[in-house]
Amino acid sequence: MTRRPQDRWGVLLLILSALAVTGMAGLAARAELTKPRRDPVTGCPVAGARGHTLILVDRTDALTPDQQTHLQERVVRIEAEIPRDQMLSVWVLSTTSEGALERVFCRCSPGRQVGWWSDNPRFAAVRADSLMARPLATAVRRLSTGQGAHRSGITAALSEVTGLAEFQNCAGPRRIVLVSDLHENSTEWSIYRGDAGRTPLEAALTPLPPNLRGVPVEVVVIGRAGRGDQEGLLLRHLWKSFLAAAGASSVSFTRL
Amino acid sequence: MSAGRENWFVSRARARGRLNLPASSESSIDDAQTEIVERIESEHRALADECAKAAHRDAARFTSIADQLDGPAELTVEVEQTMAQIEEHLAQDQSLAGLHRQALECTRDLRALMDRHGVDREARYPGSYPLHFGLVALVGTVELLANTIYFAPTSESGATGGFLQALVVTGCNLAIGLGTGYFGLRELVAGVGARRVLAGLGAAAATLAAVAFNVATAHFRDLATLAEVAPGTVLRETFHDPLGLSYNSLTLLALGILTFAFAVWKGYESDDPLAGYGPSHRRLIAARGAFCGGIEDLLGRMLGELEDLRRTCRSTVNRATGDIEELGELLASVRGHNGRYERGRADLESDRTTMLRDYRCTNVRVRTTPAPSYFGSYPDLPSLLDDSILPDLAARLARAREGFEALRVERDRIERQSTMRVAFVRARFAAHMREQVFGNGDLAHVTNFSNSGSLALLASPGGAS
Repeated sequence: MTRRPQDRWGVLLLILSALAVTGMAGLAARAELTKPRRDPVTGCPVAGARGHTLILVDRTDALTPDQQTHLQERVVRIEAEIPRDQMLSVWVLSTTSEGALERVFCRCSPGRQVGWWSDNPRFAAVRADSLMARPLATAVRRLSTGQGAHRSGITAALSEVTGLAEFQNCAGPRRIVLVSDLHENSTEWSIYRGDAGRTPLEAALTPLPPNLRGVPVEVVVIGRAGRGDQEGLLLRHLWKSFLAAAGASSVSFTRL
Repeated sequence: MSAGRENWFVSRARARGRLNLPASSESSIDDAQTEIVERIESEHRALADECAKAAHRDAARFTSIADQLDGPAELTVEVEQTMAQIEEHLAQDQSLAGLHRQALECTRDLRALMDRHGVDREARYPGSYPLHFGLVALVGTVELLANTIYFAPTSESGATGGFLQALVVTGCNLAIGLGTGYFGLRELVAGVGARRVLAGLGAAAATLAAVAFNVATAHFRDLATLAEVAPGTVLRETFHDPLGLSYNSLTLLALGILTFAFAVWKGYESDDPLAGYGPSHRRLIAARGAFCGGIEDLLGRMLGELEDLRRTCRSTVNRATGDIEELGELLASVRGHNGRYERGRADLESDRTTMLRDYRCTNVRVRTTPAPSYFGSYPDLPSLLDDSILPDLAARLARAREGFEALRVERDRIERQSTMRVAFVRARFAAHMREQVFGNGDLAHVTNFSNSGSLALLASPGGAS
């Protein structure tokens, strides 16, 4: 059967239109079906977070109002940098007198940088604000209240949080931000007893050292009034040595 | 003959000559000479056998070809078979009458419909439905893609969510538009009475609904771009300030209304406004096409038989030309075999004489008694070949050439008659149409019925005669 040219053009148009519509429908269906299922509480993919940024805040001594403000800004900046489906957890070396460790925030980022095809960047920004930025800001604000503690087991806290399965078993990139004055004060090692000049910091955690293999560590040093530069340099040296011995891939220091 | 063999004969002749052998009174040749003679005769027989076999083989092939040569009678039979085949085509035709009846019924139906509605115009509908609806699909796809972009900012799923919203909007515009054009507008144009009023009201309502739908869609887009939208909010905005829209949403509204209008137009043009006129016209066209196709097919088969006859005649003559040439070559080949034998026989005879002469001369030179009297004579080598076959083959070739000439004359005669034969076939076809299809009606009816090229043959003077 021979078709007239008009019929051939018509059939061609119909086929092209059908292909365009079904192609777009297929792509849309594929985009919806390939979205990972997420845990409703943490917002992480059921298969696990794709990275983990852990912030450990040493609150065993009170922060000045300026330090509190800077800490909030710093945390907000860190949150904004976290890609989609990577976890952010904030741990506090508590303000209670015993210096207990407490998790004040833990959630996977819904992401701010998303594609236009299967996501809406404006909606994503709103989602990130409501699910991450605001709760995180609230949690960090709460840190500014409370009193100082008698003990400051920073190395033990570091060892405890990095030993958690959610951090150790994370498949993606991991990172630790330690916000502390670096004044370790435990029964094994205390700066107040003058151990800084005698014993390396590694001695504080001989039975259970933290596992930081392959993890970059950023230390945000909280300045304390009445402490000289010499002591600060000594502490930085001690901590750098300690973190490197624990396997950290890189160690950097900044001042809050 | 080899030198060693010659030396052997010479030395033997010398040895026997010294003993004066053969004796002077001997009348028959001795053993040495007998060996020479027998050897030459053996070679002679072999040569004769070989040449005779080759000649017989060529002669057998010659006979086979000559026996199968086509003559003028074969072409006459072909003509008769062709004409019989043409008659068989006519006799086997059962479909044309039915197709004609069907076309007549369709014509009657169409005329009745035209009379009933007082219509005196051609039916209006698309020449190509695939192209008609292909254009609708193209416009719909363009709107779908544009709407996807417009709706992408309103959906949490981005472009994929926008695509689903656009699919609904475009689908509604096309469906309402096509329905309004096909059911409402056509009835409004060609309908009568209450149906026409209802169609007008329906078309107006559908148009209003479509416009309202597009305005609401544009407002939804504006609102959803900013925040979550409740249906009540959209309706309130739509009726409160219909054109209070952003530039993009205004473009979306314009695109939607244009698509709807295009769909209305295409729906209206999908068929003739007069209900039933388009389908009836299409049925008639299809029936006419089938009838004309049947005529073309039957006449084509009949004329094809004549074309086959012409091809057969030409191929028969061409084949015969080749056969005659091959017969001539075979006869020449047989002659060549005979000539080769005669040359071989002469050479053998010369060899034998030379060898006997050498033998005898050597013998005579050394003997002291006179040579036997038979030394002066040499026997002949008689021909062993039967060449009586040659005149017979030549005579058969001459007869084949005469037959071939007759074949060509017959072929020319058949070709000269081909025009007449075509005219005859057309006349037979016309008679068949008159008697079997139209029932002895006027043949001109057929030409009015179709614009088929083949039917023009029926109206030609040759066909009418």
